[in-house]
Amino acid sequence: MELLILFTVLLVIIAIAKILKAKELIDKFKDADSDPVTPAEIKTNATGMLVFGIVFFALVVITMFSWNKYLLPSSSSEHGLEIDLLMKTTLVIILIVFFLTHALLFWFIYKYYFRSGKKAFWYPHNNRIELAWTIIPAFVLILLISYGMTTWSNIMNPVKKKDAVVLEFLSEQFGWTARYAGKDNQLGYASFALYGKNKVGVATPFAMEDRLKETRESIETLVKDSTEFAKLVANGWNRTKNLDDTKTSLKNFRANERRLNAMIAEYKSNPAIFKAGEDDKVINSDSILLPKGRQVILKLRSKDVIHSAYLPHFRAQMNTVPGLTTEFVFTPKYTTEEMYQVAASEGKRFTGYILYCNKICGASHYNMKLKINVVEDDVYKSWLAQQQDFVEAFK
Amino acid sequence: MAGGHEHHEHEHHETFISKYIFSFDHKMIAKQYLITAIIMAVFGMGMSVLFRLQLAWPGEKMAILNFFLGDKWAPEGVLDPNMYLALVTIHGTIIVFFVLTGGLSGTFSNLLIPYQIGARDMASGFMNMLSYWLFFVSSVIMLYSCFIESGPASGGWTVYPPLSALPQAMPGSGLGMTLWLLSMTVFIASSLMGSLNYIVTVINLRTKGMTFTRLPLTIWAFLITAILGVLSFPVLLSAALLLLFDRSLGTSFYLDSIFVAGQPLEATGGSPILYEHLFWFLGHPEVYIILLPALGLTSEIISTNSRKPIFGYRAMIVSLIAIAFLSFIVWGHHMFITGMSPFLGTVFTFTTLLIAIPSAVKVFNYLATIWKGNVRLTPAMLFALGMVSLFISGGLTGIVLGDSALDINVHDTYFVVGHFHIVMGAGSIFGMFAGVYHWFPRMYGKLMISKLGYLHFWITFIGVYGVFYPMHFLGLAGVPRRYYTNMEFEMFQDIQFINPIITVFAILSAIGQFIFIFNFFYSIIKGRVTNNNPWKGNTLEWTAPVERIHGNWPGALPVVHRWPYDYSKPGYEEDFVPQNVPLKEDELDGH
Repeated sequence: MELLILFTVLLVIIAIAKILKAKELIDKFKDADSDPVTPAEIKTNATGMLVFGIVFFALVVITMFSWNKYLLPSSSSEHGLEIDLLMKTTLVIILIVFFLTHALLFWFIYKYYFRSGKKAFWYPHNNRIELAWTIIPAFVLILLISYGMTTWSNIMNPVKKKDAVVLEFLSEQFGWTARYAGKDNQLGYASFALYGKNKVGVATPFAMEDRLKETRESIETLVKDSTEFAKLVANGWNRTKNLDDTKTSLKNFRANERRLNAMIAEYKSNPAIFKAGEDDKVINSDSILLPKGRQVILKLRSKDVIHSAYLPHFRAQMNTVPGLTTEFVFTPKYTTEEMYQVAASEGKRFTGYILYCNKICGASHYNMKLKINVVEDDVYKSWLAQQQDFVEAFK
Repeated sequence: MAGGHEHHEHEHHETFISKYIFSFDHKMIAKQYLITAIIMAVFGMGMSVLFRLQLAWPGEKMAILNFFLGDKWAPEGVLDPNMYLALVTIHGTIIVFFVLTGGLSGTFSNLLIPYQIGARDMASGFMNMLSYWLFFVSSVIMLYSCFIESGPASGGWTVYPPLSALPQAMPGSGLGMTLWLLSMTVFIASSLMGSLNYIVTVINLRTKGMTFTRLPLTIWAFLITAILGVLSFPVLLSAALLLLFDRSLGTSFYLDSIFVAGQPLEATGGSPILYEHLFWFLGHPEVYIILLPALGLTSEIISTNSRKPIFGYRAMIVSLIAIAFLSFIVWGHHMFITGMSPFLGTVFTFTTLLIAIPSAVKVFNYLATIWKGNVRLTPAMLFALGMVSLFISGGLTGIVLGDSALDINVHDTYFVVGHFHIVMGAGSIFGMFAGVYHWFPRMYGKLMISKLGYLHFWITFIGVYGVFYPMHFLGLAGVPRRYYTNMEFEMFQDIQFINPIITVFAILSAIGQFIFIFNFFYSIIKGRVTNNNPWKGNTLEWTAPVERIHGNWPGALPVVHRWPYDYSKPGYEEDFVPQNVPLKEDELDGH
C-alpha cells in the first residue's frame, strides 16, 4: 500500500519536472498573444474523455452486477416490498437518463473538439426544443412524485390492527432497551423523571415513590457536598468548577423532585394511566423476538440525544428524539430462518435481523445495536409470557 | 459614485498595508478569499484523508495518524473515536462553509461582478474589506478550535442538539462547540456583508447598456446566490444563537426530557426538531449557495470554449431562479424521518422532486451548447465539463433521496454521502477549479501551466468517481455514515473491501491537488505572460488591460451593445464579438 502511494507520488513528481522543463523551452518561443493550449493537447484530451466515458460505463455496469450480492436482500416487511419496487422503478429511470446524457456528453466532446479554421454552428435557442425538454422531465417526475407520495402515505398512515405487537425502543448512549406492552396491549406512561435503575422510566405508583426517595437522597448528598465545597472555596480552594457542578446537579434534582411530586398528585386524581405500565415487559438483553406476520407498532423514545432506529431489512427507520414519541409501523414477513433462505436464493448473505443507530450520537455511535429474531407467533407468545411484568421485575 | 472613483485613480500612492492587507480593491479581496480558501481546503481535505485511513484499515496502527494527531487523539497511531467524529465534523464545516461558500462566492463574486458588469469596484469597498477580514477571523477561530484540549466540535457539521448542546454527551460538545458557534456567527456576518454588497453592486453599478438580459450567466448566478444568502443565513444565525443560549445561559429552546450523565436535566419544554427546522431552512438553500455560482462559472466557460452561444440563455436564467425559489421550500426533505407529520413528508417530496425539472433543463442546455460547437478543451473547460458530468450523476441520485418513501431506507447511509459529495462537493469544487484556471490570467496577467492543469483534471476526475461512486453500494447495503468503523457488524464485513478502494482513490486525489497548488503559486511567479483576452471571451473583463489597475479600465467605462454570447456569430470574421462592439445595422442582439 505505502509502496503504491510512494510510487505514484514519485511518478507525479517526475511528470511535473518534465513538464516544467518542456514548458520553459516552449515559453521562449511564445509571445503573449499565442494560443494558451495547443491543438495536440485538445485532441489528446478529447480522446481521453471518450476513453474515460467507455471505461466509466463499463465499470458502472460491471460493478452493478458483481457488487449486487453485497446489497441488502429484498425486503422482509410488507411495506418494504412497495419501497423496493419504487426503488427499482426509480433506479431504472435514473440509469437510463444517466447513460443517455453521459453518452451524449462524452460523444459531443469527442466529435466536436476544436479544429482551427472551423466555426461553431450558431444556434442560440429553440423554444420548441426547450419546451420539450421541460415538459418531458416534468411529466416523468410527476409520475414518480405521485407514485412516491402514495407509497409514503400508505407506509406512514397504516391501518392499525387490534392484535398488533406494541413495542417501544428506548435509545440512549449507546444502546437500546425494548419494552413490550402487556396484557392490555398498551404501553404505560413513562417519564424521564424516573430513569435510574428504572431503565425505561415506567411511571407506576411504586416506581414514582421509589424514584422520589432516590431523588431526595441525591439532593441530601448534593447539599452536603455543596456546603463542603463552598467552605473549601471560601478558604481559597481553586477548583470552583466542582462547586458549580454540584449546584447545577442540585438544581436538576430539585426540579426532578417537583416533577415527581406533581406526577404523584396527578396519580391520585387519575390512577388509570399510571396502572397501565404495570404489566409492561422490559427486556434487558441484546436480542429480542418478534412474531412473523403480525403488525408491529414501534414507539420510539430517547433518553439523552437524538438517535435513529434503523432496521434496514424491514425498510424501517425513524429518529428517536428526546421529548417526543415517534412511531413506525411494519409487519415482518419472514422469520429469521426463512430470511436466510430468501437471501440465499438471491445470492446474498444475510446475517440476522438487526436494529442499529443511524444518527450521530457520540463516541460509540458505531456500535449501538440490538439483535432481532423473527419467529413464528406461538414461539414469540411463549417467549413473551416468560418475561417478567414490570411490577414484578421492579421491586 | 463615479466621481469618488476617479479621485481614487489619481491618488495611487498606496502603502503595502492598504494594497495587500486591508485592501478595498475587489481584485485583491478576491485573491485574498481564494488563497484563504485554498489553505482551508488543504486542512479540510487532509482531515478527510486521515479519517479515510481509519475507515479503510480500522484499528490499524498508522504512524501518520499519530504524527498529525498526537498521542492524545491517536495513541500509537490508532485513531480515537471522538477524534474520528471531530475530523468528520470539521471536514464538513470547512468544506461547506469556508471553501465552497466563503471561498467560492468570495473569490468569484468579488473578481467578476465589477469586471463583468463594467463597474470600477464594488458598491462598498470598505464593507467588502470587512467581509473578507471577518471571514479570515472566523477561519482562524475554526482552525484554532482544533487545537484545544477537549477537541473541536464533533457532532457532525449539522451540530444537532441535544448532542451539541450537552458537554456531558461528548468531549467535542464542550469548548470546541462554543468556538464552532462563535466562528459561524462571525462567518455569517461576513457572508451577509459580502452578499449585500454583491446585490447592491449588480443592481446599481451596471455600465451603460448592461441590461439584465445582457448580464453574463455568472452574474445572474452570483446575484441569485447572494439573495439566497441574505434570506437564509440570518436564520442559521438565530439557530446558532439559540443554541449558544441553551449551552451557556440555561435556556431550553432545544432541550426537553433529557437524562444525561446520571441526571435528569432541569431544562424542559423545548424541541430539538425546532433546531432542525431552523438549520435546514438555511441548510438547503446553502446547497444552492454552493452550487449556483459553480453553475454560473461553468455556463460561461462552456459557452466560451465551445465557441458557441450558451443554448437557451433565458431558459438558463429562468431555471436558476426556479431552482433558487424551490430551494426555500424543500428543507423538510432532510427531516423525513424525524417524526414530523407524514403529511409534510408528501409536501416536501413534491417540492423536492420539482427541482429536477429546472436542473434537467440546465443539463440539456449544456449538452446543446457543446453540440456542433468547436470545443476547446482547456483545463478550465475540462473541469467545467467534469462538473456537468458530476451534476448529472449526483443530481440523479437526488431523485432517490428526495422521495420520502425511498429515503426511509437510505437516509443517513453512505448513499447520501456519495450523492452530496458528487453533486455539491465535487461538482462545486470542479466549478471552482474551472473558474481558477479560466480567470487566472485576469487575476495575475499570466497563464497557469496547461499540462499540469490537464494532469490535475484527470487525477481529480478519476479520483472523485473512484471515491464517491462505490459509496452508493455501501449505502444500499445499509452502512450508516459517521461510523468510526463498520467492523462491529457481521453484516458489513463482506462489503468492507470497498473501503480501502475508496481510501486509495482519496489519497490519489489528495496528492493530485498539490499539483494544482504548485501550479497556482508557481504560475503567479513564473507563469507565461499573456494578453488581456487569452480565451477570446466576450465579457467585459477581457476588454480591460492586462494590468490590474484601480478602477479596472483606464479612461471611460466600456459601453455594452450586445449580450455576452456572440460566439461564431454569422457575419463576423472572428468567432467572438465582445460585448462592447456596437451592433451592425440590422443586426439583432442575441439572435
